[in-house]
This record gives sequence, structure tokens and C-alpha cells, in this order.
Amino acid sequence: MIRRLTGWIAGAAVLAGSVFGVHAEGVRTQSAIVEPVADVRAFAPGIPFRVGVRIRLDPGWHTYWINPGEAGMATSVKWVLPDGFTAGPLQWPFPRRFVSDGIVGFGYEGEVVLFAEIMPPRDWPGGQPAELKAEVDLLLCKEICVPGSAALTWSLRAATEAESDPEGRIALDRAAAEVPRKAGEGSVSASFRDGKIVLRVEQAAGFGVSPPPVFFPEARNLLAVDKDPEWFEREGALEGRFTLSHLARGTPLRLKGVLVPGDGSPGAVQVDVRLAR
Amino acid sequence: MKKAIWMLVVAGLIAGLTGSAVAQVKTGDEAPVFDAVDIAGSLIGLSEFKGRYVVLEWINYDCPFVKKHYDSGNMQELQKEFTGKDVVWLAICSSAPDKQGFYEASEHKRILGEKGFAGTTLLLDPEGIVGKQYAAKTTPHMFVIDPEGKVIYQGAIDDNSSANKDDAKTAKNYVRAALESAMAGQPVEAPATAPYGCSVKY
Repeated sequence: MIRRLTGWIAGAAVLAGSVFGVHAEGVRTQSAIVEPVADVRAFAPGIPFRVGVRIRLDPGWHTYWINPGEAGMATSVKWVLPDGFTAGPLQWPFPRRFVSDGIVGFGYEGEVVLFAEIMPPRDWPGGQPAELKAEVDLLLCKEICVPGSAALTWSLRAATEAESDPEGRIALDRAAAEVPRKAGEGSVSASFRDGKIVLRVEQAAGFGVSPPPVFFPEARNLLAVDKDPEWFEREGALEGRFTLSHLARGTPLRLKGVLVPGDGSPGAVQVDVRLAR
Repeated sequence: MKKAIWMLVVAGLIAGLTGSAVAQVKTGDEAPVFDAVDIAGSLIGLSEFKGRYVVLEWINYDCPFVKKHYDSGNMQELQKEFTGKDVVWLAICSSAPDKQGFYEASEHKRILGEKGFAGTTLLLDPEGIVGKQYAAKTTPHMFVIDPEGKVIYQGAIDDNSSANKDDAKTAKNYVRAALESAMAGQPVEAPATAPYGCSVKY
């Protein structure tokens, strides 16, 4: 009896969860399930919280990063927020590189959470729930490509103190750990020499040479991503030499992207440096 | 003497190796020449079009980005507009026989008829030879060749990489811009862009 009652209570909790919650509203689109996650069940006016778009891909399928590589399409998330709410920039975990029929792609397999910080207005009326929405467009590929889309809704209560959503928090913390951090001051630099872009990574940045790190450029027409860079150890630093894309125009001035440890360990960093000559 | 012969053999091997790699066509360079069979069974060579502008369009009907430009009528309109100005428009299908987008010539004919294709013809490239000569990466992937046989544009069809057909009408079309500028004797403003779409199914 007690067990049955507990089961019933758990069931009711799941139902209650689905009313304000955010987990049960996943949308199947083609070969992926797209779900809203949030790190709060109730937000406090004027206190930021995080919401994320969790994309769970069927085995073998992938979706794309900001720069999809030589083909493909970046996932787009368009927020539709109540008046007074603002969203910070979309946060992207570092991507993986894959090659199909000799064509290089950057993106994700398995599962990825793209997220943003949301700032609710200070003067949001207490107790009034807020409905946040997002339009998600993505391209899903596995030998062939199909476009997918999902309209997501987060129904969140307002409370004087924010109320955590433990499951959502875990998913978002895990995603946040894979978002590249700002590289330490002076730990990464780059130059343009003899028609090559040379990325120099100081020892302090903590990258090993074997396997070498992987650099993902943000621009689609800067580097020839189908050519592996050459990595050297030099004066205690690592240097990667990259071939310029034949699509690059004029003399390149900046190098922007993310640098990811080759062994898959955490520690990806953002690179955004002026190219010395 | 023996040594010299060996060196020639090695040089030949190296040349052969670099020749077989995927080429990178630079805008401004001579367009690589090719011969390929079209859907009517004729052997079509690029060199026969000297003196005319030529557009190359990599195609795979089953790719959502190709659908975007055909379902919106955008591609057919562009083909009609420029074949009307004596431009040669060659669609090229580089899908391998076991891959998406591969069809026999008769099927291509039927599908192109249904779509109202208004280009000159479609070339069959099931071994990906022409595709690799041009390093075609996506469908669509566009090249424009001028009457002297030089590549004057390569890359995306337009500046909106979505898969949404409504965007085809509002985007800035790079192929039209390149042809219009070149025909007016002006430099092409964007001579190379990153193509977008599905990967070519080599």
C-alpha cells in the first residue's frame, strides 16, 4: 500500500513537473529530440538564470557548430521572451571534427546543450508565471541531411527566491564545462608568415603535443580545414601552422576560434587574436 | 644516366600524386577543363564554350538546400534569366552510384522536366572527377567562368545559408551579382565565398 502510494505521489510529482516544467516538453524532429532545460523551476525577478536547448541525436547523426565546416548549417536558436526579459549570447560547447566523403564538418554527435543566460526584469510581478519560447532550426546529417525545427516553451514561476531545478542544473553545468574559456593573457598568439597562419600556444596554456590540439576557426573562409595543420614544439611553446583557405580574401588580420585539447580532456579555450606579421 | 632516369620517374610520381589530389581552384585562374556526358548522352567539353560565360551548379535534388532553391523557383529563374543572355548553365551531379542524389540519365531528365529546369544541360559525374577538379564541396556550389575561360566567382549561391525556401527571394544572390558585374565590365565584388549546403555525395 505504502509502495503504491509512493508510486502515486511520484506520478503526481511528474505531472506537476510537466505543468511548470521543462523536461517533459521534448520535441521529436527528424532524427533528434530537442528539449528545453532550465536551471530553475522558479526564477526571482532581477536574478539571472540559464535556459538551454538540449539536442539528443539518434546514433550516427550529427548537427553543427557556429562554423559548420565545409558543408552543413549552424543550429539557430531564436528566443521569444516576455517583455523586459533579455537573453545573453548563445553558449556553444566545443565541437568535434568529422569527415564524410572527404568533406570536413564541425559539430556534435550524441547530445549537446546550447544555452544562454536570461535576465528577468526586476519589476516582474511576483507570482506571475513567465512563458519563454525558442524557435530552433537545425540541420541533421548522417550520410544524408534533413532540416529539423522545434518550437520550445519554458513555463516558469516567479518567486521571491529562485528555486533550483537540480536535473536542469546538472545538464547545464555539464554543458558549461565544455564551453571554451577565455585564453589566459598572452598564452595564445598568432601571426601570418609565408602564406601560413601560425598559432603559438605557450606552455602555460596546458596543451600537449601528442596528440596535438585541434583548432576550430569561427570564419568559414579563412583556413583550409581539409588540410591538417603541422604542429611543432618550439622554445617551450607549441606552434601550429595552418594553410590559408583559397577562399580567403586579402591579408588575414584576425584569428578567431576555439582550441581544444587533442586528447579530449577539458580545457578548451577561446582564441581571438590579431595576426602579427 | 641511370640516376637521371630515376629522378625523372620520381618526379613523375610526385606530379602524379599532386595531380590526383583534390584541386583548389583559385578565382582568377584558368577554369580546369573537363569532358563529361550529359543527360542526352552527348559528350560536353568546357572548351567548346570559349567566348561565353559558363555557370556550373553542383546539384543533388534530395538535399534540402537544393530543394530550397528549386521549390522557391529561385534557381529556375536565375537559369532562365542568364541562359536568355547567352550564358551556358551546366548543372553537375557528382553523387556516387550508391549515394543520395544519384540517378540514371532518364530519371534526371524526368526530374529536371518536373522542376522546370531552365539551364543548358546536366552533366553526369558519378565518379566525382569534375567535382574533385573544382573541389566542389556542397550542393549547391556555384562557379562562374568568363568568356576567356577564367573563374570569376566560386562559392555559395547567396548570402543566406538557411534551409528555408522563403529566404531564397530576399538573400543577395552572388551568382547574379558576379554575372551582372562582369557583363558590365566591372570587377566582381565578392569573387569567392564559402559555399553552403549538404556535402557532395562522392
